[in-house]
Order: sequence, then C-alpha cells, then structure tokens
Amino acid sequence: MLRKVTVIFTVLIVLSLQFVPGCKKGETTSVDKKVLIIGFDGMDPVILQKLIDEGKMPTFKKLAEEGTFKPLQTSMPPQSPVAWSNFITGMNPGGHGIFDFIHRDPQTLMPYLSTSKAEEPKKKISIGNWVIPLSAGKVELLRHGKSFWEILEDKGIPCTVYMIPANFPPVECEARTLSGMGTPDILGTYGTYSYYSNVRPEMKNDELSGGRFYEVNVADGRVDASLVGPKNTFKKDAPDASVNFSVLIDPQNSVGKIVLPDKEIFLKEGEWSEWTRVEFKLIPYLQNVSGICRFYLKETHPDFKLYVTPINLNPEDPALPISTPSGFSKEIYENIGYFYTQGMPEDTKALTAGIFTDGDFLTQATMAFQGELDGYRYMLSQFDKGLLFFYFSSTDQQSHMFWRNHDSSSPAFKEEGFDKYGDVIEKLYQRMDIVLGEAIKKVDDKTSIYVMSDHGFAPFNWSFNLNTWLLDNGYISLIDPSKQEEGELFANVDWQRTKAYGLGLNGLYINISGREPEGIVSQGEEREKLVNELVEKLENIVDPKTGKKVIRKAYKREDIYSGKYVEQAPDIIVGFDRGYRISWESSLGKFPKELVADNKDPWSGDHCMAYDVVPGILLTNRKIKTENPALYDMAPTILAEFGVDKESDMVGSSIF
Amino acid sequence: MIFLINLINSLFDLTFAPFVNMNLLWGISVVSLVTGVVMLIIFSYTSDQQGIKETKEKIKGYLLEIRLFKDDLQQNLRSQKQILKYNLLYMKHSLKPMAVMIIPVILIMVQLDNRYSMRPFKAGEKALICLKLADNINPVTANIELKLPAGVTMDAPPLRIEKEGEIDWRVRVDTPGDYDLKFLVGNETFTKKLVAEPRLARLSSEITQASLSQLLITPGESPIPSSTPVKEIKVVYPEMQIKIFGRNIHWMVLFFVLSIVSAFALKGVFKVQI
Repeated sequence: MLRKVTVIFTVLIVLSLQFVPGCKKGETTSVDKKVLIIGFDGMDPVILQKLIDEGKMPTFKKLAEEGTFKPLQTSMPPQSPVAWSNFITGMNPGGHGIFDFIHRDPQTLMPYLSTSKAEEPKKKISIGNWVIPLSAGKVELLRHGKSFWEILEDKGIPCTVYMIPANFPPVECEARTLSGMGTPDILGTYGTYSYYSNVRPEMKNDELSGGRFYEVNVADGRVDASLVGPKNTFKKDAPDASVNFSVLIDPQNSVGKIVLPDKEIFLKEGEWSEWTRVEFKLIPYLQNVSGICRFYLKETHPDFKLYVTPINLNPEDPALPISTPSGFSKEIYENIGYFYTQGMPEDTKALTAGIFTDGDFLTQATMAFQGELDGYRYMLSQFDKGLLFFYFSSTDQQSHMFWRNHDSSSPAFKEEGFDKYGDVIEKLYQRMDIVLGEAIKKVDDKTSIYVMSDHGFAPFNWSFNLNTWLLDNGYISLIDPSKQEEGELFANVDWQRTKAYGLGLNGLYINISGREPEGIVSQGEEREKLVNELVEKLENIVDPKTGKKVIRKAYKREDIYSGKYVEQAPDIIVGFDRGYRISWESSLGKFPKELVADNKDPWSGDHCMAYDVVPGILLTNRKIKTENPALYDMAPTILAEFGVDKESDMVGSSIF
Repeated sequence: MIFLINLINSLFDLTFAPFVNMNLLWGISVVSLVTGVVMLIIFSYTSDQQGIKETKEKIKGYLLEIRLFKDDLQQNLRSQKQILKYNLLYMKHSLKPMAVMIIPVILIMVQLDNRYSMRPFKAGEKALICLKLADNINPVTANIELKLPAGVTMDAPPLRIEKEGEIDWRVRVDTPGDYDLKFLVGNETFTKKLVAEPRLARLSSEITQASLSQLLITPGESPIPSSTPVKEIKVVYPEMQIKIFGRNIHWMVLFFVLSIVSAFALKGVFKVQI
C-alpha cells in the first residue's frame, strides 16, 4: 500500500516540478569558470572603430576600455571555412586541411566543397522499381585536427558550441554542438531556393543562380505546383521526392492561400509565412524525410510570383546529423521554434539573380538574424558553467550584399540605394552592440568574454580573371581558342600544354606530373622555378584601367603553411589587394575575355584578399599581452583559460 | 441529444473550472488520475475478477515452468503455448470491460481534445477564418460580410475562392476576450465564437450544419441551421503545446500514461484484478 502511494506521489512531484517557475537544472554551479565567446562573422575592425568613436556602439566601447580591442590576424586565405578552422584547431590550413571553399580532386580536377563529403551506400539491391540499401551512406567532415571543445570535454569541462562553421557533420563528442556554415539543405546543396511564376526571370544558361525556377499556370485563381525535395534513393533512377501544393488567389484582392497536404497558409502580397514543415514520402508508411521552409508571396496580380526558401533540415528530426548529442537540435526547436539550420541562411543568390530586391533580401536576412537571436537568448539562459560559443552570420552576409550602398567607390553604387540602404551595415553593427549587451547583463564578473570575427571586410570593386591572365601569359592552352568563353570547369583546356591553373577563390595550382592526370611540370626544381616565376609576375600585375596593383602578395604554400596536409594546398595562394577579388567565373575554371572587370553585382563587399587587408576583430574583458593576436591563437587561449595545455600540433599560443 | 451534450459539457466545464487559470498540467493530470480510478471501478464491476485472477496465476505458473525447465526444449515450448493460450483468455476477459469503458473514455477524450489540442489566441496573433457556402452561391458575387467585434480587426482583404465556394478572412486579435464573429450572408446572420483568453478554454474549431457526429466531436457551439446558404464556418486555432522538462508532449500521451499509472497504482486499494 505504502509503495503504491509513493508511486502516485512521485508522479505528482515530478509533474509539480513543471509548475514551479525558474527551477532549472544546474543552477547551483555558477561559481565554476565560464568563458563566453561571441563570433560575428566578418565584423570589420575599421568599421567597428569608426562606430565606437562616433559613440554608436557603447557596449563595445565599454568592453574595449575595460579590456582590450585589437585587430585579429585572419587566415590566409581569409575565407570563413579556413578562418574558423584556424580558430577551432589552433592550426593553420596546413594542419587542418581546409584551404578554400572549393578544393579539387587532383585525379579528376573536379571541384568539391571543402569541408564535408557525402557518400551513398556502397551496397544496394534492386527489386522492381525499388532500391534497397544494404549498407549505410555517410557524411564525412573533412576538417582535420582536434577542436578545442573536444579537448575541454575530455577534461570534464561542459561546452556548448552553436552554429560554428566548418563543423558539418558535427564532430562526435560529448559537447552540445550545432553545425553552422557548411550545413546543407535537404537537397544536399548550400541552399537552393525555389521560385514559381508565370513569368520567366532572366537566367544565365537557362539556370537560375542558386535556385530553381518552376513555370506555373494561373487558371481560375489557382496555381498547382510541387515542392521538390531530396532524391528518392529507394527508387530506381532516384527520382525527386516532392510534395504537391496549390495556391488559391482572389480574383481582385492581393491575397492568396497556400494549401499544403496538412496545412493552409493565408498570405498577403509581399508577405512571408512562418516556418512550415513538409514531409517527403520515400517509402509509403515506412520512410519519410521532413524539411522546413518559408513561403514568400511576392506578387499575386498581374503576375504570380512565389519564392520558397531552401528546404532546411528539420531540427526536430534532421535527415542528416546537425548536432551533438543528436537530440540537441530538437531541444533548441522545442524552446525557440523552427530556425534556419542551413549553414548560410541569408539568400544572397536570390538577390544576385534578381528574384529578391534589396528590400526582400533585407527582410529575409533579418528573419535569419532573428532566428539566431532566439537561439542566442535561449543559450544564454542555459549558460551556467564551462564554455559557450555563439555564432552570428548576419554581419558577413549583409556586408557582402549591402557594401555597394554605403561605398560610393563601388561600381554598383547608386544614389537611390544609398538613400534607402546606405546605413544597413551600420545599423546591423549597432544591433550587435545590443546583442553583446544582453550577454554582458547575463554573465557574472568571473566570466571571460571574447568578442571576435574571423575576418574583416573590404570593397569588391573589380573582378580579376586569374585563369584569363594565365591563358594570356602562356601558362594555359586551350583546345579550341575560338571557344574561349564557352564551357566551364576547364572543359576546353589542353592539359598537355598547361602549366598552371586557378581554382577556388584564392588558389593557384601547378599542373604537376604524377599528381594531376595530365601533369607536365615535374616536382622539385622545375616546380620551384615556375612557382617563383608566377609569384613574381602575379605580384606585378597592374589593373590597366586604374593603374593599381591587383595582387598584394602571392604566397608560396611552403612559406605560410605547416602541418600534415601542406601537400594538399594550392601551390600558390593569391592575396588580392584592397578592392580586387577573383571573378566568380574564373574561380570555377572559366575564361572571360576581359582581364579585370567592374563588379556591378549586388555581392559588392568581400574579404577573399590578402590576409593583412582584412583582419578580424578581437575584444576581451582582459588585457591582451600579445602584440598581434591571430585566429590560431584562440584555441590555445581558450584551453589556457581552463588550465588545459594546448595540443602539440597547435601553432598558436595564449594571448595572455 | 443536444441537451445531453450540453449537460456533459457543463459537467466538464465544472470539473475544469478550478484549473482554467493554472498551469495546463494541473487540469489534465487531475482528470487523468480521476479517469484511472473511474476505469478501475468500472473494470471491477464489469469484468470476471475471479477469471482474471485465475488466468494471471496460470500465466505466472507457466512462466515459472520456463525458468525451472529451461534445459528442456519440449517442456519450454509447451509452456509457451500455454502462456499464449492464457494470454488470449486474459484478453477475452478484458473485452467486456473495455467495451463498457470505451464510451466514457471517448467522451473524456473529446472533452480533453477540445481543451488541449488547440489553444486560444493571444493578443496580437492572427487568425484564419473560413466560410464555406452552399453549392449554388458564388462567393465573388454574393453579398457577404464579416462583422468584427471591438478588439478584433481585419488584417487582410478577403480571399474568395470561386471553385470551392469559400471565403477566407484573416483577422488580428488586438485585445484578449471571448468574441462572437458575425457573418452577414444575404439577409441572414451566422455567429461563430473566437476565443482569445489567456486561460484554458473549451474550443471548437468549426461549426457545420447540424449532424450528430459533428455535435459529438466539436461540442460547445450551436450548429448552423440546415437549408441555409452557409455550410461551414471554421476558425483555425493554434496548436496547443504542453511542455514537460522542455519537451513537447501530446496531451493524449500524457492522459494515457497518467490514467494507466494511477489505475495500476491504486488497483490494490480498490482490490481490483487487472
């Protein structure tokens, strides 16, 4: 009898704990050491200093006065996956093996995204139209080196690392981590939006940049379409899985209703929906994949225009691993609702393709930022010991797209853009001041605070066609020179008469015999001579229009990298001078005629230049002793905060 | 019948009355615990208690046989066959009480569903209102108006879907309250409730032309009179979320777990064989 009464009381007590406000686990451990790191991707020290001086960022100013504010030496190249990998591992790219957004397979010269690789199941059997996998597929993180949070967790120090780039799939560990930049959407891409309209947009090569266009008919106030999801690998030829939906439009009023299998969404013209869960059926009743997306009813009359965000992995039940432990993403969802799980949520491609106006992009980027902010507030409320790292992407993505509106030197500058959006970057920085203020209010005096960025920003006024320069100077030969501007991925290159080629945003490779499939330059002296020759010539390139130096410095890999993976690096890393960057075309093996072109794209600010052109920021509430702190010093510094020795392969050291 | 349904509603309203302004879990916990006890009592009167006791003892005996003669394969198989037989007999003994219990359980679940599957709107939230018309009425040309009470404002122009004979409105709740939305269709007026109170409330999402099944599923509001130009009026309420240790738990899971736990915990007190 007593036992039964105890059972009932236990159940009631467990339930009643729910009714008591503010009772959370672990609140008694606030005396423990705490380190808070806030990472603002792409926050620039020059802009920040200017705003501090103008009194527009009081919290940053206070932190700088109480502790230290210094430029933070970025990685070379200063690309986010490379830079954050330096931060994570305390190594340079030679150690962690991430050299660019894009790497190439030396055997096939095919480019691939540098930080992760997906493999389908190796064994499958087919029965009729169905394919049954006999082994599991896998997704692999290509970054090498131990992360600082793995080392800390090994020592029993609890860590939470939120949306850190270059950590997809998240490295297996005890820490609570959520993957950031590099996390794909449900299609396995870095973000592919869908655009439905009865009017074809202007498209290059019949393809929409970063998205898919679906031409639809509007009949009797109704549009029928499909959301295209992942490939159904359980079926022969892996057709796309899809979810049908309709949009019902009023004959006169600018409103529409999106009807999904289990939901109806009423939208006015120019309005965004909330996050919506969609289920893609792979095997009826057995296997579904769910994703989340938002709808933007851009126009109902006279034309129909509907934008749908990339279908993000559902944090409730992600189809690919995005967090450790696996339930962490669900915990976040249950506390803040759905959020962008895709690595770079701001849809810069939709703006570049003209699907978005500046205003549309700003709305979408603000929504992405709000999702980050909700996660940040939840994480701060949970932060009672150990380490919390939190990442904000907005400072980078909005600086890329709105630079032209505040910098009259940009070829894409327009007075109208200046009037409307000239202060977007400044306002965003000021918002980050509030963000920092929220954290400072939450933490106690014993918490070490670091505010940092992976790199800064500079104008991207001129596109340099590196491969065109190599072609013009006899380092590349084409099979058919009359088709110079046709084809991509080096399709027209005569490899037996090619000595060097550029790939990625800063990489230049020598066509080495034995490494490249049709290499003609031998390792050793011949390579060394060619590298020296190229370095000298590259550093002397002058823009014929402006008379300015295009390349500040060309780095030989051996001079700047150390570690196990130096051999996989590009032979030369090209450090562009302020204002210059490689062209989009050249980075993927195309040969436009013009050597240097004015950049009139919305993507008008950038950082893929020489590392000393675009340093990041570092603010702490302690005095920094190191003269020139660098990103790879951060991991040893964080370890030292907890009294943990750095790993032997870390090249950095504590800044205190 | 309507009287009976109204009576049941009133009884449950009374039961939930102490909990409407408390944490959601109080009401559902108490109702689930009481349900467990009621089920136990029903079970004791409608089941063959002696038969159940004997069946359970037989199963225990054969389970013991398996442990004792674990090296004797033939004996083992015989015991398992007997266990299966008595399990089926046990299920047979449970059928009658289950058949009796299903009626009150469905009634309770309908009441819980009306309170815990949807939640009232909060101030500032937007609500989708759908009105479906009889087949011969065109929503584009018909004279139809939605009259909103003070505290609720129109948030978008109406969406008229000719093929579906439907008009949708989106409204915004400015201040909390229990509202009557009035729909003027020609010369007739129809009313649908919209609840926006920060408390536990019995909600009905839609009203239709009178039918018994509809009345049972969504009790609480007068049905639309038959032979009128309106077939259905719907208010799409937000989904209710019940959180336990930061996790969303569906009310049905909570109800079954708590009622079963309480029934098992108290079966000795009431001397009931389950």
